[in-house]
Amino acid sequence: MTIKLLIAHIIFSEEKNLWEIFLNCLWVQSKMEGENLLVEKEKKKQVKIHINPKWCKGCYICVEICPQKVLGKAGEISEKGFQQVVVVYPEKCTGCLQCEMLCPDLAINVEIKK
Amino acid sequence: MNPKIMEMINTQAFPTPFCPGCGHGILMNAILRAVAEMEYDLQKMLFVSGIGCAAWIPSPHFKADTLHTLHGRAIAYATGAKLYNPNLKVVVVSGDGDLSSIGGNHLIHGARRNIDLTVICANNSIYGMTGGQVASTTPLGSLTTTTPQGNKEPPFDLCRLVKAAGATFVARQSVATPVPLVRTLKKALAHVGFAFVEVISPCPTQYGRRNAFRSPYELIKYLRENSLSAEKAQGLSPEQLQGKILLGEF
Amino acid sequence: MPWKKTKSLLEPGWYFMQGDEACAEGALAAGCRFYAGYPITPASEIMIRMVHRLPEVNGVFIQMEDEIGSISSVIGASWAGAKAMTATSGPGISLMTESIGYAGITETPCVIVDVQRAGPSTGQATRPAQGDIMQVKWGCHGDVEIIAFAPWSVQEMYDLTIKAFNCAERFRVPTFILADEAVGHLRETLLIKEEVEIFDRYKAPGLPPFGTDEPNGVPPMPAFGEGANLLVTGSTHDPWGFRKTADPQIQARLTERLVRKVKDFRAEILLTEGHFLTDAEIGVIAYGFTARAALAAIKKLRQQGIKVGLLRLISIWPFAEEAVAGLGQNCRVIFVPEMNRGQIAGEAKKFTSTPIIPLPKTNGEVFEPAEIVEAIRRNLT
Repeated sequence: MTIKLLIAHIIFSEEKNLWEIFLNCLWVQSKMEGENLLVEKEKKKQVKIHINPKWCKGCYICVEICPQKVLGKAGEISEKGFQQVVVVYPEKCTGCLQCEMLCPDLAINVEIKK
Repeated sequence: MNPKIMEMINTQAFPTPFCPGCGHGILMNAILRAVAEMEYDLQKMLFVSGIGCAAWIPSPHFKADTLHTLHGRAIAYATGAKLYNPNLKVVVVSGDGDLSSIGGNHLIHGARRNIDLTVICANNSIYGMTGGQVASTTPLGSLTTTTPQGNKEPPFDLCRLVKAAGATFVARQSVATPVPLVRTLKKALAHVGFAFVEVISPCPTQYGRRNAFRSPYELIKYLRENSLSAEKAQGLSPEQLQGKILLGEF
Repeated sequence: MPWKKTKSLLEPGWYFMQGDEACAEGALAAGCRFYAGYPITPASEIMIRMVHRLPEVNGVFIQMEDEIGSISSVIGASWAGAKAMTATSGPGISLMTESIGYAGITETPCVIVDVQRAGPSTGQATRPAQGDIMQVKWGCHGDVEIIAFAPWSVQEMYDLTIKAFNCAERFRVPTFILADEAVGHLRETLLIKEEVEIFDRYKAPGLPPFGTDEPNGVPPMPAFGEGANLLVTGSTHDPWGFRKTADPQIQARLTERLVRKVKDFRAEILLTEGHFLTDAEIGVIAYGFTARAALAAIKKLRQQGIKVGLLRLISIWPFAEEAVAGLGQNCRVIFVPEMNRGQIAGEAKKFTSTPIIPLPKTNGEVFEPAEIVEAIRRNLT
């Protein structure tokens, strides 16, 4: 456990009992390590996003719903009369699959390589 | 995407006729995923639907036996097919007006008989295909083409209705939360007896536009912010629950 | 070959049965193994017979919540592979009409028994009539070439129901038995023969189930669960069942084939019976229970020296145009007694220029021979 964490807790925590503060820090530490591991795992996921331009209708649910803002609009109107959806920041994708699951047209396929 | 899904659809029928952002498209996506994950043989499944946008979910998109019937009559047609060949896995996919308005009688009798069907009601709270008329599920005050002053008739609570009629599995989910939706669909498909799943599946074109939702995403966002699980709702007061959509099994 | 001979279900011999009961037995003999119905006078007896007999032959019975549910589940069961039937009366036909159109465009074989009663609307539930002749043909919107038979005896309630099933399977079209309360509730002797000839629907895996290369063909009919990925729909469709709701060629081809597949082959369906027609100068067209009185009247008039002959229509739809035209050529006047306000009389006028005199009777009672004799004599002077 880091000294920084312990000092921060002593200064800012409402808890005055040192033993409780120590236990809290232990708990926080394990949580952070757990999340770090998770982030490590997610970083190891390789994802490739395929968008089928023939089936996409430009409803932009995927663009708005993505927590990482990976998808965006093409910038110009296509011959179908709307801006196609394109992958703007593929490296930010965590493979949450919200875009794929919420696409009404089965136009997104998020390929996750382990 | 589950690789099975591309084999389960008639690709020549895509892109679908659904509007951009149609909730029924998301539901179609979820049904395919549920069936694929349960590893059902689509060849042994029969999808029966009525008339309306929701009825076009299975027909002609699914590579299974599909029976596209008359407005409100899907459950009656499905009853005949299931009784004659009980080996068929019969799933009814139809809309809220189709199943509960013109088809209300067949709905409650199917539930009463506890006939072994899975009924997926795609509820968009409006008659979409015919241009946006009020339905038996339209919220009070909503603007539709036949309620230009706002809807004055209270809507059905479909889950309570079907449960009271005798259905043995009743649940509500929303297309805005596709993971619990697929989970519930799988449970409904596995259930032996009358399984009813009401899926809140918004219509951006007919309902959304007239009721100040400017994009399909705004409807999804609204659903996410205003739905809560039936468990969480238990401790809350009626005022707190006003306007909230309860999800889960009943 | 889709025609086959099977043993009768009942032991061969003589029976004394009610018309409705004989109709149910005929259906079972023809292979009917699914019945869905709703109670209605005077057809409920058919349903009651079915609820007892179907389990004996491993069939399925259900009483549905209304007539719409009945015809709907009959069509669903037909697509699951069953020979399926329902029975009702006028008010039930009114409710079933939309689904009859659906059975027409999806080419679903099914048999619908209409035990006609005095109408319109609720009318006189326990009284006979023949008022639904046009309704079964033209009730549903659009052009559906339905087939219909009118039995005049308990024997025909049995035999014609078998023929109705065979026609339904052969032509993939909803087929009607136009009975009436009189013949439905009549008790008479019935002869059951050793064997029954039945037709099973044409199967051809791999061929389209909703279209043929010929402009008047009947496509093969798979069932659910056979791996055919059936696309049954009431919308206009291509031969594989894909909806084509904006294509004029497909709509034309489909609607024309639906009519021609029956009309071009009506020789297989038409059934008429002639009595004393060889030298007849005065003609009578009658069908159903009325034909019994008409025949007795003809015999009476012949005794009085009047050269009158009877053309009994057994098949009602498709209409026996040629037989009526032939009658018109030989006769100088044709009388049409019927328990409605002149439905077949109006139809007959289309096919002959010989004067047609309708003899309508809509008081809820059947014709007596004396009435027909009197009416003809009065009109001849």
